[in-house]
Amino acid sequence: MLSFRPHTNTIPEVFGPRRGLISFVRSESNDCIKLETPGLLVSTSRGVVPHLSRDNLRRTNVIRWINVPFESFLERQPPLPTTLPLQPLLGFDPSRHIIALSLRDPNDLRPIPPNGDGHVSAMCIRGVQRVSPSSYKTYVRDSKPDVVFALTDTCLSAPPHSQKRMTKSIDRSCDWLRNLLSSSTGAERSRNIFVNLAGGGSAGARRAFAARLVEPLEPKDLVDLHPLQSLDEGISGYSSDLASLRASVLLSSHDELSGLIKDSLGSLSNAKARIATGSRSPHECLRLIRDVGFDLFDAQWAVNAAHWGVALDFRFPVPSRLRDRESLDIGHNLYSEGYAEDFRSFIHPTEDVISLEESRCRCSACSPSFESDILNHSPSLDLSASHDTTAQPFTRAYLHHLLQTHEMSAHALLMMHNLTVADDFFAGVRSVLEAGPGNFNDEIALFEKVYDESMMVMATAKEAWGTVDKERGKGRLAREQQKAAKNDQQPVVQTESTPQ
Amino acid sequence: MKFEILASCPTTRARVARMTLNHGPTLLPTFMPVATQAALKGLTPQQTEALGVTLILNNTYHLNLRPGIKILDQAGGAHKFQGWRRNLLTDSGGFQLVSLSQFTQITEEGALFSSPYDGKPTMLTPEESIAIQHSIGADIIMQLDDVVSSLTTGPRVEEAMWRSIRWLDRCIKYHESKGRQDTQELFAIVQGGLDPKLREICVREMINRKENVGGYAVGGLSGGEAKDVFWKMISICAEKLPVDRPRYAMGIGFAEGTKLLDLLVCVALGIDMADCVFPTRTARFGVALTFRGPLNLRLKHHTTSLDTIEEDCPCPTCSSGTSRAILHHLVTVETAGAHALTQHNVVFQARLMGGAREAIFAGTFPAYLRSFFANYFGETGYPKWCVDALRSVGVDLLEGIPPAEVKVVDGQGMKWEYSES
Ligand SMILES: [Zn+2]
Ligand SMILES: [Zn+2]
Repeated sequence: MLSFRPHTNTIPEVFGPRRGLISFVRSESNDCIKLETPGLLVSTSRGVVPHLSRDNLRRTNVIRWINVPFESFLERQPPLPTTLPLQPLLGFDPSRHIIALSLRDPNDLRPIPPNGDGHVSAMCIRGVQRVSPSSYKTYVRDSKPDVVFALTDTCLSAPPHSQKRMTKSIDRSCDWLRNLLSSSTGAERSRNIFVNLAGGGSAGARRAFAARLVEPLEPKDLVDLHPLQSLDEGISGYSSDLASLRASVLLSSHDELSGLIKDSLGSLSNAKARIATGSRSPHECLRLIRDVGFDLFDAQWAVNAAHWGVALDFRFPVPSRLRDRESLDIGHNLYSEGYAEDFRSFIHPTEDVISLEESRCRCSACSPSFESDILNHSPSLDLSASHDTTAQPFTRAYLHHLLQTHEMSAHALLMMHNLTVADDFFAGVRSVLEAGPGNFNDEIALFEKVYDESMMVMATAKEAWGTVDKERGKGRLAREQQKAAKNDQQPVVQTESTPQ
Repeated sequence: MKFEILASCPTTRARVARMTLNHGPTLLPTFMPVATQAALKGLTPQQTEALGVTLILNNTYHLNLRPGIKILDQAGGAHKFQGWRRNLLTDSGGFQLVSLSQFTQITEEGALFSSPYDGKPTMLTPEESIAIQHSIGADIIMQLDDVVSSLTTGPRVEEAMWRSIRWLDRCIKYHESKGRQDTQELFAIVQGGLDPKLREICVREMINRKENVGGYAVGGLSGGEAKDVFWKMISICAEKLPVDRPRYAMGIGFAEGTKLLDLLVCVALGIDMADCVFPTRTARFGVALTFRGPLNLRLKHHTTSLDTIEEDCPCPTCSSGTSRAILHHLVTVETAGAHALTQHNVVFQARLMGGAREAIFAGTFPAYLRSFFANYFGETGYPKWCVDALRSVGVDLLEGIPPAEVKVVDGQGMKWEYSES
């Protein structure tokens, strides 16, 4: 059972920064997984955390909450996770990982035919597949995720959307949620449901959707959804898909974005967890925590950075040695020739002294260790294994080499590192919040000054990635190119104006 | 280097040995995964070591281009550069030069080629090759040899053999002048094309230099030759080479699919080590190696299989319960799919060699060979060249099989899940 408990001393009325704890207790084993918030969730592609083999997934202990879009499995019928549940199928660790299922990848904005009254359009390698709410419910039942994202009618067509379309979208989203909550269709009611806040770019529609969640159920639904009195009672939290929100309306400022989200959350309980997918930068995460109060982020920027050869290197709060600096890159574009002879680890202050607040990055790239238990293929012949597990940190120069020679391990190492940096970033947020909200606002302002939010470093790295890919990547996995195309629709260079 | 023979097969020429180099012990026979660019496809050194690998190969030609000697020197050698703490072997760079460079001309001085940087004529001399390998710092380094295609005939073959011997002398001289003989073992390469006489002369000449070399490689067999000739050349060299030095079959069998057999047959003929790009290369195309033959996981009939690749396999992929179905879902699309197969395939080959070591040690190697071939080729038929090669060292693969069921086939001995069935 999933629960979210905001720390009582920090919980703001409705909006504002908050700390909390998500705990998931697995009834079969009594395993309890705890996740401090604001925190990190990690998304999968085709069921795997990009670039991480199972042993490297295990080595990356900042991965706690894993989002699994179901759509890639639709290319076969029956979909694979209905034959074997997600956890054993994908090799996640039931004692460490919370598995959350959604139908679609919220960051995939490729054009797709509109949804219908009775189906959502989803994308897989074989093209577009229609999924009805009842099939989705069956998929959920059989694939046994820990958390479910309800189906939402998101308009991915170009804005503006008519009022009629918005009304329909709200009606459908409510119907589909009701279907998921209903116990009358034979399937057991799904638990731990998150609902995407529907309504797109229209403030009115967003408020209307929220109102529908909390309004008392109609008599016929009271039976079906017993003992719930409202749809909202059946859900554990709310999610905001920022990528599709941005696609549905032209936003001119961060305030407009957070304003729309507030329109949804204003009438909803502040005691439920809030998830944001598709944030574009750590800066945006900070503002969403400050202005709205989000609890989990997918930090897609950390994953993109790993795709494109960027080793993230930033901290929150900004370390004292950097506090008078401006517009620093949030990471290192390791494609750059400047790193060819740089034998430092990814995070390494230019000064010789590493202050206490900056201990070495704990990821498996910066603090690797050899396994003490290695395979021995001829056990009768004693080959004494080394018990020394110490390994040297991977260097920027080596990563530069791997990227230039198109070696896949570059991306595995960068994933482990970047996810850890993202996790440390949220840990920093929590520690500042603990000290008080006043500090937090100052620290955000400082962070915005010190680190370049336009993230030019990502754009430059992506260009270099494209060049090397073209030159050397004859056998490059096709999917990465698809991904690049997909990511093209979420420009990393920000177009909103940055608040001062 | 310490080279201790722990056991010898009473029937074949196979032996188990412990070779202790500058970065620790490696048990022989073994295969060496190839980490061309100082990285084993997709795996970190920590992952590679955990698979039970103690010796990998880096390619000198590639490392010389990238990252280049200057950077390797700054890093303190290739071990430190890539974070690998076990043994490492480098080739001389000559073979790739000949096969990858557009223009190469062999003179007595060395191999003249156009620089990949600026197209200017550049010379790779035996001294230069060793100097580069000193910067890389591998535990085993190879002499520069005069490589001719195994299909070349005529006086060029003999010329190349003699030149390779002269170049060995230059390599030894340079190597020792730098005082590297205690930390890096120089291996000689036996040439002589497909001519048994030339091979014997070459072996004899190189034995004369035994005190100055750490081990011997059999070179010049790169897959173009008939399998029948291939094993005979290996056999001639392995038989004549000194017992107390490791023997390395270089770059054998570029034709994919025959690699496993080459390796196992070579062991029976007295070879201790071989390099192998097969497990990592095939992994990227969705092929998993098993004791019952390769599986092409891209094929449709794997889409619903919840079995692991191989039931008793201890690799991270199989031991974590990765099903064939999910691998089918991932391979050639997600890099993590390639990593999973690479880990399995490297472990498969390590198990194949580990099993051979155990069997040689226990005195049951002929039975090990018979059971491997029966599992692997039971249905498709035994490749004739394997039957012949093993017969030459006293193992009858067909022993105990009723004559009516014996199936021997000509050709390379490919076994492949080619298409939908
Ligand atoms: Zn790190
Ligand atoms: Zn395996």
